[in-house]
Amino acid sequence: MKEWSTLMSKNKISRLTGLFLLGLVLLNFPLVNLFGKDQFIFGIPALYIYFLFVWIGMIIATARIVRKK
Amino acid sequence: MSDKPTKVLLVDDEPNILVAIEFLMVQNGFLVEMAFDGVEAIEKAKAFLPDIIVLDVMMPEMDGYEVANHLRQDQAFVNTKIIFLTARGTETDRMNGYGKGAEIYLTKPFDNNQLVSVVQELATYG
Amino acid sequence: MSTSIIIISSLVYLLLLFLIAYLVDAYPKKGKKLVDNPYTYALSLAVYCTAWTFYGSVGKAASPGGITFLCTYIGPVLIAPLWIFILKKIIRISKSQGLTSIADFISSRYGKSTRLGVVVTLVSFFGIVPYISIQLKAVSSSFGILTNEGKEWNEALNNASFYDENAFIIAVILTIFTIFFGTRKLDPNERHGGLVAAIAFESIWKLFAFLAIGIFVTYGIYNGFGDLFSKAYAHPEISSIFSFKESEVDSWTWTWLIILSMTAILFLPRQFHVAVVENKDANYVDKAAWLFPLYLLLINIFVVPIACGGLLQFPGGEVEADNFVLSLPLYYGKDILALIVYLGGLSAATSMVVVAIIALSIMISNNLVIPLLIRTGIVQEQSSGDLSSRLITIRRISIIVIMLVAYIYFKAVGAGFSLVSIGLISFAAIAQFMPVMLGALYWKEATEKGAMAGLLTGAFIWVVTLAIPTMAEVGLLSENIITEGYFGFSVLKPYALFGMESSDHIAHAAFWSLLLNTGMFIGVSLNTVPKQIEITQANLFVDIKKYTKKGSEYELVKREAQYRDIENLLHRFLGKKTAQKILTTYAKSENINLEKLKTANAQLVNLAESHLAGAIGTASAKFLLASVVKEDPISLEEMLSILDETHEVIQYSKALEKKSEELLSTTQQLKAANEQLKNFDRLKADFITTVTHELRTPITSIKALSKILSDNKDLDTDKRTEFLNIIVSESERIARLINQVLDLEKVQSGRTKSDFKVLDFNQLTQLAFKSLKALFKEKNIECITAFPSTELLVEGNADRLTQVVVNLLSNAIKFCDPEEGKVKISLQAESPNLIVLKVSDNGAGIPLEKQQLIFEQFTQLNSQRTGKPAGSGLGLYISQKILKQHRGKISVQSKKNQGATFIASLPLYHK
Repeated sequence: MKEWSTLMSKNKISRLTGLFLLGLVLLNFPLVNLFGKDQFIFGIPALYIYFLFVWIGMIIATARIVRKK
Repeated sequence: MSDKPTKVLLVDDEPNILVAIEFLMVQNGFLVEMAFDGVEAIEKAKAFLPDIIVLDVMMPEMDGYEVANHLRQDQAFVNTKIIFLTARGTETDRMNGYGKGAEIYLTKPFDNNQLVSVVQELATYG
Repeated sequence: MSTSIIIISSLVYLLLLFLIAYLVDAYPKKGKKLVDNPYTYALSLAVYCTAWTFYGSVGKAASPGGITFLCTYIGPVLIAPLWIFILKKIIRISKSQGLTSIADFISSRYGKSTRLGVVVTLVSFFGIVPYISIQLKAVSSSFGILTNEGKEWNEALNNASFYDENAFIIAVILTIFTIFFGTRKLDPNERHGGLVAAIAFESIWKLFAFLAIGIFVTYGIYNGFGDLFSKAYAHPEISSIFSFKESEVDSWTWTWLIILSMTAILFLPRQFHVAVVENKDANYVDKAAWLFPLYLLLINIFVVPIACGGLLQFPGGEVEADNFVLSLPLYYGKDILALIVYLGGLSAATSMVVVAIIALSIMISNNLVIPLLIRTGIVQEQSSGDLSSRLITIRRISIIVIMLVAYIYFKAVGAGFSLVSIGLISFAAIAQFMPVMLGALYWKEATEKGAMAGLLTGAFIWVVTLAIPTMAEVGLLSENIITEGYFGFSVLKPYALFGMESSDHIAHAAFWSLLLNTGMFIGVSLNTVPKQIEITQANLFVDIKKYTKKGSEYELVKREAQYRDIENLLHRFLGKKTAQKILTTYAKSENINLEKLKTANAQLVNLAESHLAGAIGTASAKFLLASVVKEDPISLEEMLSILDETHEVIQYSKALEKKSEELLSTTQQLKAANEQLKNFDRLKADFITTVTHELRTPITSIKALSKILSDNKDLDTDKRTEFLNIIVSESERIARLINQVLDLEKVQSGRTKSDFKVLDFNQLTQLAFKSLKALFKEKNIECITAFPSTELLVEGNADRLTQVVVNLLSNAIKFCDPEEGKVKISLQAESPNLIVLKVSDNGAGIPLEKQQLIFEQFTQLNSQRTGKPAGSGLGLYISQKILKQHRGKISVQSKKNQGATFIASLPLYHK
């Protein structure tokens, strides 16, 4: 692992790994199970809003971590 | 064998020993002179011209062997007999180093009778 | 819609693709701009979305437990951030080693193992063939639906022969397409710029098509998401899409499916190809890491709406959910939209098929066929001929074979399963590469045998839990296998291995295969010893950071070959044109005249090796070159292995050196100790000699005089008395000596140190003086004393200090003038820290040369009184030692005939 600090900062690696783990938790049981079928937000099932936001969140987070030089 | 009394020179840095030897020699009819160190010994020898010298080996400044060497170089003392008084142990090398002719050694503490008989023999047979 | 329109539009579309590819390859400069950028790269990654995505997602979403359709996309989204280092590392390694497929990668890492390459190729082959077959299924069924939009299309869907015709034609077209795209020439790097451009275009098109249908359903048929969803909610069966129901979806399945898709996005041969082999710049990954998830998001937004719309429209399952995307527009008469959708599906399918088959063909030719040919000597014996065309032919044949097998699979099995389930079977096969790949990247101890064991085990379990049961399900094999287990053993039920009941066959298979795969991989790796080449490769892979300089810097000395031989090899395998290009470029850069070149140096040889590797795989290239290169070639890898060994040896010898240094120092210490001991021995001997001499002397006189006394009973009294006195005093002398020796021993052993107390030295000195006063008087010695009135504290031993004072005083008595002895004693504190005792006598003084000696053992001076030495010679020695122990000093000042002054000093004690 110590070789990688020349590839990129350890900081980036740990943040990306952290993002990965966060996503892993967010997009898995039991969190995902929280959204029952009867919940709607603006007429859209809560589950979908949730997925949508986590998904978009991960995209933005990755983009930002990668951009930082 | 001469009728003259034998002259014996006693050399030792220890006066108490000389006291004893002096008594023994006198008791046996020898003429005695005493010296307490090597320098004195040579002086007295030249003056006294002893027949026999009883010579302590371990003396400060000039030890017995040096005295003997010195005297031997003098023609006058070629025939003088020397009895060395030694303490046992460390003198083997020096004895070997010295080694001209058979020398007589007595170790301290010596036996009175032995000392006397040696001197007597030397005196008798030359 | 008429068949002809569909056919024509299909052909037009395909021609468009051809055109794009062709133009990009024909105009490399402009083409490069189009292809070599992160956006095209990210789009090429979207080849991940095949007809499965297009049709199958909706189909899955519309069925019970349908939310799991998302798993296939969540996996890539989750792992995308990790691409930044995992994928980049893979790319770096592949570029530096010239690797052109995942089989090459794995084979190279584990010691350039040919057999491992074979296994990986076979697993890929049997894993991907089903995947290809479902593309065929999708295209042909969509074609079928489109051409039979009327009521009869229901029946048409079930018309087997119709299927066959369509599928076959499509297969043929795709084969031609693939051959065209992938095998026009042999590029050592296996880069196909045109192909990438075409794939990127297809990704745009299929996204567009899917969004089109999605928008149509959501806003065309219904009034937006809200409207659609509320209507769907009204139907309980449909609304189950909106959540996770315990009975339909369990966390086990959800998790395993995500794991499978995470491995798929990395290790699917087509993904490896576009992500690694076709990659121009590793930094593209940075952008792709969020662009690709964005693409996935967009293409998935409308899946559930479409599914809802389809279920609402066609309840009761009269239309296969897979086909909702087509049936809906057709139902509403939107033919053009339907056509667009169909073309979108075609696009998705063709991109998958082409890339997958090309990737597979590279693996088959490089890791299967060529090694076989080389091993059997066929290749080498051919002295004539340009083998590069042979290679192309091998590739083309493999393409045809793959497609053929895919078609057969489609016919035999494909019809019975949904797109998604077969796709997942492929995923499960590819997942077997995960342990081996992770080991390749991060675990140096992974060995070739471990990789073989793991892969074979995983593949075996996959066959047992998925491949065979699926065949049983469609009737190719006995159904008993499923119901009763293999050979009748219920613990060997393919869907419930070892009694583990699982609702989802895929998750079950994935669990067992990966568990045993990883277990065998780790277990065997730990218990086997890697070969040197494996170690070198492991270092190269895992520590790629260290070795990312240009290879030629590291290449070494002993690699030479006849230039003609190298030239020949390049001609045979790369084709004359390519070979010449390579050689002339090299010659130009090195300013060499190729005509006159006799020997190819290490640089050229390595250049040749890397190009050859591109064409025929690294293992084979190495093998071939070895036959041509003289002496043992030391390539970078071998040099590294030598370096490793040397490193070990250096370490070892350094350790040895250290040991021998230690040994040397120990020896020196021993020598010094020995010297000291010898010294002590000598000192001891000297001491003994001296002491015995000192004892012998009084004993001699005692013996002689006693004897005289005993022999001469009538000796006169004077003499008698004299002799007796002498005897007595000599006896005393002996006693004194013995005491002093004992004192010396005590002083030497330093035992006195522990009994230090605080005492008044003033008092002590005065006491000592008092005890000798009688003696002073007896000898008529005048004493002048000067003692202070205060106490002078010191820390020490009273007895010892008294001894010192007595010694000084008695010396003064002994050595002062015999007639008029005068002794001066003065004691005072000279500085805030020092006590000084001065004892002076008026004797003959001590000559300068003796002033040091008197403090040494057994050195005596002659007393003036008796002319003979007095004392044993130890007194001052002992005194000095005692004072030293008390941190004090003693010295003497004396001039001839002017007496002597002894000065003793001690540190003053402060509280």
